[in-house]
Amino acid sequence: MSMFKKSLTDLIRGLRSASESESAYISGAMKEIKDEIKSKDFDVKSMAIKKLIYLHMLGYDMSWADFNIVEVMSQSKFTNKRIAYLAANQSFTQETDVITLTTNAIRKDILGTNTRGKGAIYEAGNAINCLANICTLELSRDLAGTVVSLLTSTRPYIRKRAILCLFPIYEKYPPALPPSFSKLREKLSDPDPSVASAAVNVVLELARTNPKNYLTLAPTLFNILTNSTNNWMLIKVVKIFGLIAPLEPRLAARLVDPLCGFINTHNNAMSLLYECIKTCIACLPNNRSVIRLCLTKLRTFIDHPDCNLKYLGLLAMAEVMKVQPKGVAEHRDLILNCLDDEDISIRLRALELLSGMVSKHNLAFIIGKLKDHIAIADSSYQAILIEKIVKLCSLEKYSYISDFGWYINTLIDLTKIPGAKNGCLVRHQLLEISIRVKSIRPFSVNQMMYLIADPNLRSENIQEDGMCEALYAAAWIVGEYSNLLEGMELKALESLLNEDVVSLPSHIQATYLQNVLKLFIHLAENDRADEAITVIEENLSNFTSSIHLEVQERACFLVVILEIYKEEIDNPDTNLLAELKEIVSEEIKAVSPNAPKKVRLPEGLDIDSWINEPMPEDDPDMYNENGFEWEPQEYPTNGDYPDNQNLSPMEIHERNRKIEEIKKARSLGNDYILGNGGGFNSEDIPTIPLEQIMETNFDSPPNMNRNPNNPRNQRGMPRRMINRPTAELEIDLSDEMPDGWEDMNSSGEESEEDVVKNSLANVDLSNADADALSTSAYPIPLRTTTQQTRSNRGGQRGTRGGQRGNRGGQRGNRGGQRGNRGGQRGNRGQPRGNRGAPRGNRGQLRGNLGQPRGNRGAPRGNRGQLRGNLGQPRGNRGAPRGNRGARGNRGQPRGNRGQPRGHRGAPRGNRGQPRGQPRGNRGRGN
Amino acid sequence: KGTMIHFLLVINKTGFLRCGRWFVPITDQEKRDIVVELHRIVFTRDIVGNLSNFAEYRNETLVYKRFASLFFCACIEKQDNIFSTLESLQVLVDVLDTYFNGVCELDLIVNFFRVYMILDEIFLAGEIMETDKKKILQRVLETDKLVE
Repeated sequence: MSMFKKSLTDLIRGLRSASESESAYISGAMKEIKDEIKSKDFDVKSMAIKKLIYLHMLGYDMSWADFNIVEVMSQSKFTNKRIAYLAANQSFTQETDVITLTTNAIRKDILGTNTRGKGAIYEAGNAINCLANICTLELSRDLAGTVVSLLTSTRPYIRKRAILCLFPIYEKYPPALPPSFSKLREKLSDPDPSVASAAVNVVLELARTNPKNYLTLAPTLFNILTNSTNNWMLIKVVKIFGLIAPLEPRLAARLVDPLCGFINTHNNAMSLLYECIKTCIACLPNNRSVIRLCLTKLRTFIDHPDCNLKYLGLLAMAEVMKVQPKGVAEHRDLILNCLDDEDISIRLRALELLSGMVSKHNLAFIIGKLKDHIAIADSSYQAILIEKIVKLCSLEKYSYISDFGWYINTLIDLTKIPGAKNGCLVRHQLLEISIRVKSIRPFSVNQMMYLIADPNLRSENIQEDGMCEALYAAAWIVGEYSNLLEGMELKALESLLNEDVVSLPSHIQATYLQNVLKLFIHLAENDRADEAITVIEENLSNFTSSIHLEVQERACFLVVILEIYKEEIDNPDTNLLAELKEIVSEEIKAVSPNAPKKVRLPEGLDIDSWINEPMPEDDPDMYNENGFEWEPQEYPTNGDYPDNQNLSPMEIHERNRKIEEIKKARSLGNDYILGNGGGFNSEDIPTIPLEQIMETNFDSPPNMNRNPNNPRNQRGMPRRMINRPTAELEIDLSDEMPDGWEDMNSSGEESEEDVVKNSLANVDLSNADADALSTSAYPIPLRTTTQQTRSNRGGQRGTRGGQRGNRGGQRGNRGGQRGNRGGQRGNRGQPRGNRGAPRGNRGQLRGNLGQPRGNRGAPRGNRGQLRGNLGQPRGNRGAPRGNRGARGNRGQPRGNRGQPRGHRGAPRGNRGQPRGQPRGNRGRGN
Repeated sequence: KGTMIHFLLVINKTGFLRCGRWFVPITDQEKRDIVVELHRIVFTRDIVGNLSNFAEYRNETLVYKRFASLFFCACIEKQDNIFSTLESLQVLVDVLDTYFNGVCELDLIVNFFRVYMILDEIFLAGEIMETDKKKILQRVLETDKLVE
C-alpha cells in the first residue's frame, strides 16, 4: 500500500479534518489521482478510480477518467473490475464516447469466459448491472442477443438480472423485443420466485407503453394472481391487469373475485390493498358494489391517523373521482378536514379532490376555507390556492356560482394578498365576468372604482403576473362601461391619471390611457368636456414623457385629440363628437378562441402561395447588432436614403416589416426607443402592393351558441341572490362564431402526437413466436441502415420547420397589405384629412381592447384578424393584431403619416411636437 | 423514463450525498441540483415532523424515510406503488444494518463501494429485483470473499 500517496481511508480522513481548506486539499488529492491513474500497475489505477468515485459523489467531475475506467474494466482481476464497473455506473452518460469500447469487456464477462471459478457469476452479475445502467443504442443492439441467451442460464441469480436488463435494452432498441418475447413469457412461470417477479416487472413496464400487445399474457398472469403469495409480485400483476383489463371487458369481469378477495382480507399488506383498489377503479368503473367496497376501504384510509395511509387514500380517491364523482362527494367531510393537515402533500391531494365536491351550496364555504389558508401559506402554495379558487369558481361554466357579486368580491380580496402571483388569472376573470354577466356590470364598475383608487395596489406588488394586473381589468371595465359610473367619472379620471400609475408595467399604463380617452368621450357626450380636459391636461405630462413607447404614443395621441377637440367642437361642418363616439359605440363581445380556425377558406384563396416573389433566405450576418441591415448614422435624417432606389418594392416592404417587428419587440421589452429610428422615415415607403379581399363573407358575423342543444344554453341561470342589489344572473356563455364555421373533429393534433410516441409502443408482437422460431442468431439490422434512416428523418423534419417559417413570414406580409388597404379606405372620400387619424387608430384601440381576453375584438378588427390567422393552428392573436394596427398606420399614403413621426419626435423630449405634426398633415390632407 | 425508480439517493442531514444511483440519464449538473432540492424538501418536512413519507417532486413522487441522520430517498413515477417502494427502502436499510452490524453514517462513507454493491443486489435497472434479505446478505458475503 505504500505506493499510494493516499489510501481511500486517508482521503476520507483527510477531508474530514481539513474542513477549512477543503478545496485546497481536494485539488491536491485530485492531482495525485491523476498521476496514479496513469500508472501501469492496475491496482494503483483502480485505487485511484475508487478515490475518484468518492470525490465524484461529493460533486467533482470524473468524466476525464472515462477511458481509464474502460481500461480497468477489461482487467481480469475481480477486485479491480468491480471498481471499474462501479465507476462506469456512476460516471458514464449517454454521451460518453468511450462507451462503445466497453462492448467486448461486458460481453466477455456476461458469458463468464474470463474465469471458470465461482466468481464468474458475480462478474456476470456486475457486467449485466452495468449494462442496464449505461445502456446506449449501440450497446443494446450489440449485446441484446447475449443477454437473451442468459435467460436460459441455470442460475436464477443470472436469470433475474438478465430479465431486468432486457427492459432498458428494449427501450433503446425496440427491434430486440419481438424475437425474445416468447422467452420472456416463459419466465413468467419460472420456478424461482424472484425470477418470475423480475419477468413480471419487465412485462409491466412494457405494458405501459402499449397494453394491447400483452393481452395474450392474461391467462399466465391470472394464474399468478390466484396462486402466488408473493406480495411484491402480486402488486405488479395487479398493476398489469389495471392496464390491460380495461381493453377487455370479459377479463375485467373475471377479476372481480380475486381483487375483492384481496380487498376483504384483513391481514394483507396495505401496498397490495391499495393497488387492488386502484385496479378495480380502472377496470370496473361501472360495477357499483365493487366501487362502493373500494370507497369504504378508502374512507378508513383517509380517516386513519397514519398520514401515509391518508395520503394513499386521497391519491386513490382522485382515481375514483374520474369515474364516479358522486362517490367522492359523499366523503366531503373527511376530505375537507385534510385541507387543514400539516402535510403539504396531503393538502395538495385534498385540493385536487375539491373540484369533484363543489356544489352550489358549499362553494362559498369551500372558497372561504381556501381564503383562510392563503393568509398563512407560503408563496408557492399561495399561488396554487389562488389558481384553485379561480378554477373551482369557473367550473362548469360558472354554474356553481349563485351570486356573481360575491365572486367579484372574492377576486378583489385576492388582489389584496401582499406579494401574490397569478394576477393575470384574476385579471382575466374580472374581465370575463364583467363582459359576460350584464347584470353584474353596475356592481362590478363600482367595485373597480375602488380598485383603481387603491394606492396599495398600484404601488406595491409590481411584478410580472403580480396582482397589479387586476388594475388592467379594472381600468378597462371602468372605461368601457363608463356610462354606469353615475357621476364618478371625474374621480375615475383622476385615479387613472394618478402619478403613481407611471410605475406600473407599460401594458397596464397603456390600457389606462386608452380608457382615459373613453372616459373623456363619455364626459364630452354629457357636456362635461371642459372639466375632463382640465383634469387630463393637468396630469398627462407624466405619460407624454414616458420611457415606454406604447404609453408615450398613446399619451401624445390623447394630447392631439384634445387639441383637435377644442378647435373643432364649435365647427358646425364637422361632427367630431359623433366620430369620436364611434370609437366606443360598438359593444365588445366574446369571440370563441377557435373562431379563426372555423372560417371556411374563401374559394380561390391560397394562403400558402407567395403573393410576390419570395425573398432569398435571410443572411443573419447582414444585420448589425441592432438588428438593422444598415448603420443608422450613415443616413441623413431627412429620409433620403439611397438604398431604396435599388430595392424592389417587395424588398423594401420586407425590410420595413422587420423594422416594425423589432420596434414592437423593443416596446414589449420596455426598451428605450432607438436613437433616430435607424434613419427610417415613413415618407420614403413606396406604394406597397395591395391585395383584393372578398368581404362578403364577413359582413354580419352571426351570434351562434357553441352548442345549441346543450340545456345550459337554453334555460337561464336560476335567480337566487344573496343580499345583493343586482337583479339578474344572466351569464352570456356564447362566443361569436364567424359565418360558415363547422364543427370539425380536431384530428390533426393527434397525428402529430403519434409520431412522437415511444417507438417501443409500436412494436408488433402478434408474430413474436414465429420470429423466435425462425432465428437462432439475433436478427439485427446493419448499423448503417438504422442511422441512415434516422438522420434522414431529422433532415426532413428540419425542412418542414423551414417551410413553416416561410409561411409565417408570408402571412405577415399579407397582414401588412391588408392593413394598408383599410387605411386607404378610411381616407377615401373623407372631406377632411384628420379623419384618417382616429379611424386608422381605431384598429389599434380595438386591438388593445381585445388583448385582455385574447379572443375578443370588434367585428371590424376581427374581420381582418380572422383572415390573417387562417391556417394558424392556435390563435396567438394579440400580437398579429398589434402589428396590424401599426402597419395600417404606416402604410397610409395620407393623413395618418403624422403618427409615426409624432412618436419619433417625442422621445427627443419635444413634447410640443405631436401637436404640430398632425395639424400639418391635416392641412395636407385637405 | 421507463423505469419504476428514477433515482435512489442517500443524503445526510447536512445535504451531503452518501450514496446515489441514477437509473435514468441525468447530467452531473442536474444531479447536483436534485440533491440540493431533495435535501431541502426532506429536511424541512422532517423538521415539521409527523408527516407522510411522500412528497411531490417535479412531476414525480418522492418516497423517503429517515434513519438516524440519513435520508433514504427514492424518486418514482406517479402511478407507481409508493408503499412497496417504501418497503424496498426498508429492505435496503435492514440489509445494511445486518451487514455492518448496526450501520452508521461513517460505515456508509468508508465502505461506500460496498453500499453500492448491496444496493445493486436489491435494485436493478430501476426495478426491485430481490427482497429476500437472507439471500441478499449471502450474495454480498460471497462477493466479499472473492475480493480477498
